[in-house]
Amino acid sequence: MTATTLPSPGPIDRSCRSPLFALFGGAAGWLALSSAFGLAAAMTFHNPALLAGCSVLTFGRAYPAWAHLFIYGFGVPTALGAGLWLLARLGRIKAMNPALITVGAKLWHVGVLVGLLGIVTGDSSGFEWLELPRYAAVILFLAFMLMTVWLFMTFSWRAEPRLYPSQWFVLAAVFWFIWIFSTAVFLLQMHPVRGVVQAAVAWWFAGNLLNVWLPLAGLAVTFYVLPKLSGKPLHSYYLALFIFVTVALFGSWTGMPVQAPLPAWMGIFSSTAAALMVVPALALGILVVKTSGGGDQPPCFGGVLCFAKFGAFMLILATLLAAVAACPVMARVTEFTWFTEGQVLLRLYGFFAMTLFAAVYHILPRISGREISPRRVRAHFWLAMPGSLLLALPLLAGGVRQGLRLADAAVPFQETARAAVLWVRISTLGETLIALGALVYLANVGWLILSHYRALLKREMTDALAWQPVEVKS
Amino acid sequence: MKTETSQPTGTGEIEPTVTMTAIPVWLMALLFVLLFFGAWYFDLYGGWFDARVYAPYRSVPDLARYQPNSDPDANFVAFGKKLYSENCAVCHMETGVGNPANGCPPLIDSEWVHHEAPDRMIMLISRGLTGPITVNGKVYNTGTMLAVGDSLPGDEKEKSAKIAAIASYVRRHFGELPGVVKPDHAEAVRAGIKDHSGYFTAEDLMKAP
Ligand code: HEC
Repeated sequence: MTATTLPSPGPIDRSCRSPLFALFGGAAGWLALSSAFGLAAAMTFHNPALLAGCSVLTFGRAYPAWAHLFIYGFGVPTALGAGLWLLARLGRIKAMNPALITVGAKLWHVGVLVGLLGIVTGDSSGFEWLELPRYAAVILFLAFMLMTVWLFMTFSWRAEPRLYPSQWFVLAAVFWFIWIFSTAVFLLQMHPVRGVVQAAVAWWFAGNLLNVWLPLAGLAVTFYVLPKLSGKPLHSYYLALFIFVTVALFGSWTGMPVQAPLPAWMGIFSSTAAALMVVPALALGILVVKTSGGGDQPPCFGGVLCFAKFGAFMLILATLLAAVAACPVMARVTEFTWFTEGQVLLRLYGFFAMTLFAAVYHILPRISGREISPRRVRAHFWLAMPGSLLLALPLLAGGVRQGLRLADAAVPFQETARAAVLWVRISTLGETLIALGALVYLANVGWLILSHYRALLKREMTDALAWQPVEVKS
Repeated sequence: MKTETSQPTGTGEIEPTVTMTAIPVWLMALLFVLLFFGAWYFDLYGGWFDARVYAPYRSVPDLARYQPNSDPDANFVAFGKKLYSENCAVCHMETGVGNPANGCPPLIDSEWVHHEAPDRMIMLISRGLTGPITVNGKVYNTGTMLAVGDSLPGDEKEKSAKIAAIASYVRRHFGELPGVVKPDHAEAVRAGIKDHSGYFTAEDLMKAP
């Protein structure tokens, strides 16, 4: 730890400051709250009576609140903020109209709050990853459009014509979100389609959100942070392009369970696509290892680079697990068990959150002009990393066990359910670590933002003090 | 740990670059192998986008096998359908529209197919047909139908059964006639034309019931 003050930020970083403070700051708060709801939801497995008196904290509300806050409270704004900064930096241009983006960011947080209130008062839509009621969805959509207009402007007025892979990923992620979110809200909440189609749309949305949007938004950061921090160029332009195309192509078909009560071709097509996702996963592996691996690399002790690397590897692992689970033999065992949940949580916490943390820890010091102590980052890493593994891995193992027991007619259902609780216990331990990590994160982000204002205030004061004698003298 | 703080913050900071290394060949090979097996898997289980097919069933014919079957003759007619595809569809097409350009009349809307008694059908399948024939108001004269029935494999009994099956399918499917043609009846008709050599003509057929 050398200096606490960095050289003052350049014009590009300064232009991103207010929108990113709004996006990152709010998101960090939502993440902490989301973890709290996650823990409350998990408590129902251990002691159902504990929170039963409070309707807000019952599973049916706490779980959707957790999901809503994680995706819309934390994920989308953090990714969008990182995307804005990447477009500005890589395009060598100041963010366009940061004031309106800031307004959009605040409106977004209002939308998240409205959605949360809707969910905890029993107004949830009941669709996974789209729990927010439709009035909240409208606010979110408007806020998103308000922000992305200026994101596109920033991109199209860029001074650097050459494109870097991260830029495609950011833009595609933005487009993808607009597309899937508007379609799902329209077809599920505004003019609900009927019957089987409803389930199909809901699964389509979830698949696209988890298997296309998360990778696109996350890898934009990975492909920037990895080469930059390891001081090497990104290994291959073509591999990045290959990942981009295959994720968009195959990922958008994933999501329908093989055994779902849908026409057979949907599940079969989906599981084929999930198996094909192995290819971009391996490509990502090559890219990560070749870019940031090698003997001259210092070991990972929990810095920004470790967040990004761990995140990328967890995406690979989660994708491989999803591909294995898509095989018919495995699907018969794991589908509709804790396994799926474990795979998704690995994707959310292991990959997506970790990657976004890397982005924020990389970006925030640059725009605030304040250094963050590596100890604080490390503390977060050593809570979040084991936390995400402890959260997901027991569910994966427990899911397989549960599936085998469910298939065994001699084992009563009650017993299967009871046996699974053991795994859920371990995983709740992981969730607790994650929640602690989220608090550290909130403290880190809050500290960076506040210390910026404190420094600003101090400078104003000293300026004011230094100025007076000058005036007196003249 | 290499800290990013050693670099100046702001626009002076060096942005990452990317090299143009090619994609490894094995990755492409893997993609195509997976695509191949994916397509194969889909073909086996996917039901070809038919909204009626739900797991664990694989295709429409697969579903049909599980339908409660009240028709005792279904298997016989299905056998006839298979034989029709193998022996007749080259000329009359799977759909029965025929191939008028080559003098091959349609079986759809044909008075010969709709004809109540099956004898003529058995005869023409057995020995073939030549010369002018009027089907649905149109005269066909340029083609000759071969003695498909006689050249079917098997002894006389088997031939008769196969011809009866084909006739049953054609009459049901293109003629909307209920019931089936009994193999015994086909055998009897064939016994009656034992002495006839060469193709039949439409005139010959008219003499039969
Ligand atoms: C080599 C091509 C060919 C094959 C194979 C063939 N047909 Fe024909 N078929 C013809 C032609 C040509 C005619 C018309 C003959 C004529 O002009 O006298 C005809 C006429 C007929 C007719 C009477 C006219 C009509 O359209 O209703 C029937 C019934 C018929 N075929 C049924 C069959 C059946 C059943 C089979 C299979 C066992 C079969 N054909 C196989 C060429 C063929």
